[in-house]
Amino acid sequence: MRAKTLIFQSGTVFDPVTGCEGSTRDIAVCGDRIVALEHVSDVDEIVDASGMLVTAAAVDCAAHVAFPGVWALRAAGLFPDGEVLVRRYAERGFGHVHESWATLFDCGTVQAEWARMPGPDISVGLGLPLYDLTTWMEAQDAATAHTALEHLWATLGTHGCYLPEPRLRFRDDVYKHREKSAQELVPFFLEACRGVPGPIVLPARSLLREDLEVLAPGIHVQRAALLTEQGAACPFSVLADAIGFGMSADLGLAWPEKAVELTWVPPDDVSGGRLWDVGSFLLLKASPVPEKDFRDEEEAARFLAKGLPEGWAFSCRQANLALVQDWEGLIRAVLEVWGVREWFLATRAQAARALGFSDRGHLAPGARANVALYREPEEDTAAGWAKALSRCERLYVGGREIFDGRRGLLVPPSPRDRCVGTAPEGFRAELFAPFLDGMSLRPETLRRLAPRAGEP
Amino acid sequence: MTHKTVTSLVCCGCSCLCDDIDAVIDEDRVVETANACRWGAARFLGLKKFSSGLPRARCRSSRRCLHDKQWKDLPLGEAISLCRDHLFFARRVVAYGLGQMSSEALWILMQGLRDWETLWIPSDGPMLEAFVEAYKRQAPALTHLECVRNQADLVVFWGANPLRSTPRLLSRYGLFPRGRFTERGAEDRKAWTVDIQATEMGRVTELATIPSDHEKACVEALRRAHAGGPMEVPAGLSAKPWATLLKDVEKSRYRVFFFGRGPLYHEHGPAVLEELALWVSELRASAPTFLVPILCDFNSMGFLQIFLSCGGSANPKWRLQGDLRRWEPRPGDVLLALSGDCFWFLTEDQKNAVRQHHIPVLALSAYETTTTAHADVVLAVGLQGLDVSGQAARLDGMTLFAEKLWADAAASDEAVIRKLFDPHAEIGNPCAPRP
Amino acid sequence: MIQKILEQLPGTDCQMCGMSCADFAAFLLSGDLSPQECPVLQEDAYADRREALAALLESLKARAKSGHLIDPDKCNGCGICLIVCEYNVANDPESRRGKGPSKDAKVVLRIVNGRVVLADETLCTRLLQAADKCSKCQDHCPTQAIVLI
Ligand code: SF4
Repeated sequence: MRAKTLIFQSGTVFDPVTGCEGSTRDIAVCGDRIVALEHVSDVDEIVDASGMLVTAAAVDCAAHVAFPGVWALRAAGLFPDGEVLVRRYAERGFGHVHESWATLFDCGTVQAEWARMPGPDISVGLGLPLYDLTTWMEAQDAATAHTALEHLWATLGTHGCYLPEPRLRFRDDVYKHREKSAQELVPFFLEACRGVPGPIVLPARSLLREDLEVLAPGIHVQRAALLTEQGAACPFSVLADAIGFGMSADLGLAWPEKAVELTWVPPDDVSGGRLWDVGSFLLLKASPVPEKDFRDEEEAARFLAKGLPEGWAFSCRQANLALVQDWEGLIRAVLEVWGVREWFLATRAQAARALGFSDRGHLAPGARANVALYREPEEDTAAGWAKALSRCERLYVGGREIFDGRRGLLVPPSPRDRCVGTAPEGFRAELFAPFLDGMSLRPETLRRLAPRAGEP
Repeated sequence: MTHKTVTSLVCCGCSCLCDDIDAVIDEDRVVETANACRWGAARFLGLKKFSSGLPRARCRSSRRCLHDKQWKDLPLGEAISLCRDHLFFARRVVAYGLGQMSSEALWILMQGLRDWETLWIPSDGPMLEAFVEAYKRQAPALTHLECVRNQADLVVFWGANPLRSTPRLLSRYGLFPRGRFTERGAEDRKAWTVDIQATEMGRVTELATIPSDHEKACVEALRRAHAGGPMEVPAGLSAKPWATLLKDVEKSRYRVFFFGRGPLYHEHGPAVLEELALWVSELRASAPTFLVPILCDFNSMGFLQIFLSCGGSANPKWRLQGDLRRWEPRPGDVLLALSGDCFWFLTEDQKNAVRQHHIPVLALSAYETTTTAHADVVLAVGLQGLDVSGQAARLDGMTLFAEKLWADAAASDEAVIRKLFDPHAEIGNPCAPRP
Repeated sequence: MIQKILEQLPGTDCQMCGMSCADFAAFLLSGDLSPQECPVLQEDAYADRREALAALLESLKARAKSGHLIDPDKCNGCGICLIVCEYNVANDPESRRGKGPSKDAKVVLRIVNGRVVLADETLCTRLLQAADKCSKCQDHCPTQAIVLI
């Protein structure tokens, strides 16, 4: 079957990557890709985009919306249900969401949760406490660790990884002799991760000042997305000094509505909030945050604006962008400090780059056809732009329309094609044994965590 | 010999979802299992769960009841459209069972019923309802069974006898396994069972027995004593085991309370859970402390996850009800018995009301049960993990995929439910009607 | 168990079998001697005891050399014996971690068709070392399906 072709006609294109910042142009799509206009002969559909901003769909480079145990928050009425989350992403023009972490045994849970939220493209980072690599680390066998990691990511269909901490720490004194610092671990880890796709993400809260000496150069090379969090052991300024470019940063903005923030806490700081043990030596804590105005965060926005030329990307505080209800207010607060161009860079091109996707966040030929259409702003002010950008009129993901401002979500009925692990040929269960040292699962089971991948 | 050995199967016998079952298969029959417990083996071997050795009758054909228990076999597609017709006239859907369905089927079901007045009664209902209520008010922390085996140095089974509900919980996760930081296994852990009678658990853990009407008072006593007060157990009980239990709790550095179905057989059960949840939240001030429900059906947790992800508790048309016996059948109800034996548990009054109000009983089942015998329409489906594949969530929420073992003609519950709401959907391989 | 057998013997310690009743009981249990070799027991006065003893020894036939007497009706396959078994723990990392042993692992006990079976009694510590060295499977069996004799 011939792939469907589609042209967005006469729209005002805003795409800093291809140098379009407001010129009227047509954008052509063939199948799930953007194509050069001159390569299109038969056109199946013409979308009249006059009076519209045509942009690449936005990328949320660090979401936590399908993490394990989210149902407990939902039972308590602290977290919106799946449909609300997906609708919010669509209304805001997000075509790709990166769920930052799912631990090995939560991969199936997180992916199943996302499978029930059809809409944007998704990728999931593998939460990897470093003690899962102990066997190889002790043998200093980075080559085998590398093979195993490659195999693991392919099997589970995950993208990049999330280290709760770049260290090994233990609760009990008997294990103290096994503790290791970032200095000892990170070189081994980077060697093991050589060439694997996707970002390595670390929550800034878990970083120590001395970690940065070894992390900065390594992470830069790995296109890491380092998400700064307020209250980190390591303040913004230290991070900014220590780290070069090629990273994304959490904007550190709180939403003004009552909601929850997610943080990692050490096991000895376990009072308050709702807690999960997800299998690292940190516990995940969700606590309600008081109402707050975005404008109170101007300083954070100003600080992060400095990182924009360095390639920083935008995500929200504690990476729960979909929880922000007053999206317009947030964009406005940011635009008052940044410019429109920076907003597009930070939510699209740079966010995609932080995740290691070269085919997203822009409209150059060859890119995945994730396209968002907004109304043109009525006035060229922060308020005017915020109003326009806060509500997407039409959203296309992979060339298919998934949202229409008047008709709502038009999501495909079966989202199954989205989260399947690739189940590499010659599945080598034995490689996974060290990962499963501390688990009751058999290595063969990892193949079953990615939905459908193992069905005979 | 057509025998073949397959390894590392997932057992859907209970909410442990053991993934280490090896089996010998002859065509479309399991002839031997290794590692599965008695319940699990019975499921694989096609035997009854509680009367060992007796074969369990499978529901092989879809059919409708004409009258006087006269059955007419139907192709599955026709049986489904009959159900669809019944649903069309429903003023309220009563969905019972649910914990033994695949996650995929549950999701399609909830999508299909989102705008319908629906009473959800999962077979693990009392536990699920009580926990949803507890999460509304308290914030007991959650953990994974993998974390329990690696870290827990205190496990308490409150009103639970996992040997009866989730037999391998103790050997795989809860008490005996040698985990990453509990290398001496059970020797690294203190273990307690609190129950209203002495059970087999007394042979593997310390046991404290307690009259059921004093359960809440005992948790209160523990809470107060932990807060620094004296240990004041209800009159007639010896304080000694409770003082020892408290000492073990206070000495431990990672505690897990497993909450069983036991207390919920009594009307004050939810209050016991509430009190325990409160104490668990308080205990967190000194060390990580978790509260884990022991669910029985293999996908009860899947039901809960999906119910809440679909906005279940906020949907004004839906209600989650724990106890089947609180259902008051009324005209306009349609009873969807989904892989659960509803009629086994109904009271005579309820059964009479079902008859009197002509409430259609639509049963989806892999086994012949009291309910399929009473149903107006029976939809025969395959067994997950044997005839059909599907996802399920372990009792701690971990999601696994259980694959089918042979190319069988049985339809999956997922395909059947999909077709129920979408007449154009394919069923895949429908069960052929009995000749 | 020896005590139970002893209770059915005449208890005269007459040495007509060449030893004391207690020693004779031990040989009965090990299967090296049979009740017929006690002349006193053959007297009519001991007819009841003779029958009881025969029934008792019959019930012990299922006993393995390692001493395991397994009642499959009591076993629910929980697998605790596999993980506390000294040999399994020392030699099979899977059992140690609470996973079921793989199909070609060398282990003493296995769960087959939902019941515990002796996969290889010769590996049992009770045979390798001494009968009183280990009784973990019996001690931890919650349903008392395993009795060591
Ligand atoms: S414990 Fe449950 S899941 Fe495991 S074998 Fe037994 S029935 Fe199956």
